[in-house]
Order: sequence, then C-alpha cells, then structure tokens
Amino acid sequence: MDKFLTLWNSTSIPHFESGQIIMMIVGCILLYLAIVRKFEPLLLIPIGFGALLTNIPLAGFSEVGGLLHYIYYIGIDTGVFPLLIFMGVGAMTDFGALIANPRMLLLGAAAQFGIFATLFGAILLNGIPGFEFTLQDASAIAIIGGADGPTAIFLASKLAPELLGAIAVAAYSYMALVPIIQPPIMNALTSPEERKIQMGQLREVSKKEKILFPLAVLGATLIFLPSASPLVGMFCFGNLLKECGVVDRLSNTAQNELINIVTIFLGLGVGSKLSAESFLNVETLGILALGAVAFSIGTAAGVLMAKLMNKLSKENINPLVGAAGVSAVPMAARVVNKVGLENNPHNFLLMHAMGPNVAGVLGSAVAAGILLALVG
Amino acid sequence: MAEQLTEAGMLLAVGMSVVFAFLTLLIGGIKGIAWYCKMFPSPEDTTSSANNSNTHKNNNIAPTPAQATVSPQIKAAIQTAVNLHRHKLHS
Repeated sequence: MDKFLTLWNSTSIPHFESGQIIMMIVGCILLYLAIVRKFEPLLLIPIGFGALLTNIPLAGFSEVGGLLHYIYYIGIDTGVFPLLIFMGVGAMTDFGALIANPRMLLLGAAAQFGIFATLFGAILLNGIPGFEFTLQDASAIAIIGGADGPTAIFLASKLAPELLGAIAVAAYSYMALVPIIQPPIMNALTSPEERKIQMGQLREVSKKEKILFPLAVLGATLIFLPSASPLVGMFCFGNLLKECGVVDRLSNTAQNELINIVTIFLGLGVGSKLSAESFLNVETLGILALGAVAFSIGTAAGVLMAKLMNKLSKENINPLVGAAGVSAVPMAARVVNKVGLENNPHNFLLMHAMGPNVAGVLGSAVAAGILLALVG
Repeated sequence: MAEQLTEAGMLLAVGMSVVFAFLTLLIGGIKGIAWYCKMFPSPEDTTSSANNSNTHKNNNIAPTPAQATVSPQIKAAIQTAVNLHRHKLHS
C-alpha cells in the first residue's frame, strides 16, 4: 500500500492546485488564439506552451535549476532577448518611405501620447482596493501603448519584472487585435472626405541615404538620449547590416535564423512568468484594461496629428496614416491601407503608412528610453 | 496619489516634449542627408536608378547587362528598324 501511495504522490494529480489548472487553461487559450485564429502565432505559441510547462506540478521548470528559469534570467532579466529581436527587426525594416517623407516622424511622435497619458490611468486605478501600482509599474504598463512587443518586454524587465507576464501578453494581444481596435477610432475621428484624400507619390531614395540614416539616428541617440541607445542602437545596427549591402550573410542571419531562435526563447521565457501567483490577480485585469486604453489613445493622437498636418501642410496628408504611428509593424500600416481602400478603391496608402509605422518604432524606443531615464 | 499624479503630469510634459524634439531633430538630419546625397551623388546611385527605371518600363523583367549598356544611338537605330519593319508588314 505504501508503494501505491508513493507512486500516487509522484504523479501530478495530487499536487495540482486550482491556480495551476486555470493558468494551464489560459495557456491553452493562447495556443488556440495562435493556431486557430492566427493571432501573433510566432509569439503566442511559445508563450502559451511556456505557460503550460511552468504550471506543471513537481516539474520545476521555473524553479532554480529548471530550463525556463535559466532562459528567463539569461535572456529576459538581462534584457538581451528583446535587444536581439530589435536587431532582427532593424534588419527587416526598410526606412525608404520615412526617408522620402521625413515629416511622418511627427506622427510617430504624436502616437506616443498614448503611453504617457496611460500613466494617469494606472495611478488612478490605485484608488480601487487591490491595486498598488508604483510609478515604475505604471510606466511599464503604459509602454503597451507603444504597440511594440520587444520594447514593452525590455522596459517591463527593467522597471516591473513581476508584471512582465501580464504586460507581454497584453502587448502582443493588442498588437494582434489592431485590425479590430483601430478602424472604429480612425472612422470616428475622420470625415469620409478626409479618408478619401490621395497622397503624392514618394520620391526614390538612394542607397547612400539608407546607409547614412541608421548612423544619423544612432548619432542623435548617443548624444541626446543615451538611455534609449540599447534599443535604438541594436535597431540601427540591424538596419545597417541590411542596407550596407556587403554583409548579406549577417543580415540574413539577423532577420531569419537569429530572430527565430530568440523568438522561441523569448516566448518561453515570458510564458514562464504566467504562473498562478503572479498572473491570477486583479492587477492583471487592470493591466489588460490599461493596455487597451493606451493603444486607443495612441491611435487617436496619431490620427489627430495627421489631421492637423493636413490642414497646415501644402501637400495632402490622409489623416488615416496617423494611426500607423503606434508602431505594430506592419499590421497597423496594412489596416490603414485597408480602411483607405474601403473609402476610395484607387487609394493605396500602404507605402505612405509605412513611414509613420517605422517612425512609431523609433518613437516608442525613445519613449522607453525617457521612462527608463526618469523613472528607472 | 496626488503626488504621483503630479509626477505623471511632469512625465507627460517632459516625455512628449523630448519625443517631439528628438524626432524633429531627426527630420532635420534626414533632410541634411538628402541634401548631401543630392550634392554628392555616388556613381552607384545613378546606375541603380537607371536600372530601376528600366525595370519599371519592362514590367519587372530584370535588365540584362546588354540592356544596361545600350547607347541611345543604337536604341534609336533599333527603334527605326522596328518601325520600318512594321510599316512594310502593314503596307
């Protein structure tokens, strides 16, 4: 009988806690969203599976000596994985549309209003029992409005590591929901005439300009905002690998093999933070709600800025392109193009939206650097 | 909480000012780069833009080395020959 009891105790069944079962269900929901609904599958599959692994009783995946523990502390706690992802994103990004129309940087700047405005929401939530967000927590939550996964994970790992799981899940969920969240805001803030505005063709950008651009961005960052240089620096390095044209092997590795490998480990590492004790609380609900607010305000600020620029500028600017300023490359630009085509079947806004879209990546990295310098 | 809200207000003001100032600086930087590249174009750029225009006209058919080196005189001679040939066919 003792042998049976020992065998029974070595199975997971008597050790399961209700929280672990709920978190496994959450992991399965993430897998469902990724596989069936195609919501950010590259990240949600590793995160969902990481959530399953970390909640297995007795396995100790996330305890000292466990695989996920080491993945988290080597790659995420140090900030290495988000930076490597940023390098890969830089190697995949074409700044041609932005260089051809540099004023689009202002749209990328305006959309960051969502980040800073959400700080108020996070602090006001402290008035409700159960919420105790510090200014560091509020900053890490607000960066969800930047709609940039690696930036959100990087900042959360520095300012509020205990909230990392919820922040990463919220950031990637809202990025996947861009086609649902943004169009109503875009339509509410623009008139049908404004949505039909056609923009002039972009000029051709020379190779030399594309090579000098990442160097200029890095130069400005290291002089004026060194706290943003880890993110911006790796982004510029990846972009230079792509544009210089003499290291195709390195560029291909950065935008394919390396980013794929790091994505696997980043997802598993984030999933390891989806344990019952750190996720199943009222603060997670607050983070999910604040993320949606941040994202919506950012979209609205971008559209309103584009409207203003259209009024003041001699050249036509379709206010829809402002919505792409929230980053979420290239999904937000595709949404702008889709909404533009719905209003004018001959109006292709994709290339025009790519300018503010990549400007949003830079803008959110700069915003993260500012928060790190002022709050960290 | 009032203290935290004041601090958030400061962060909003400083943060947005710095983001706008930094990205406006970059606009100046990009315009400076564009001016520099226009003043001192590299030979590769002129070749690549010529190749690009060929590519567009030929409906995305990659230009061959021969196409890239055809002189305007030879091109005009070929065009005249083709026109003469078509004229003969129709007459």
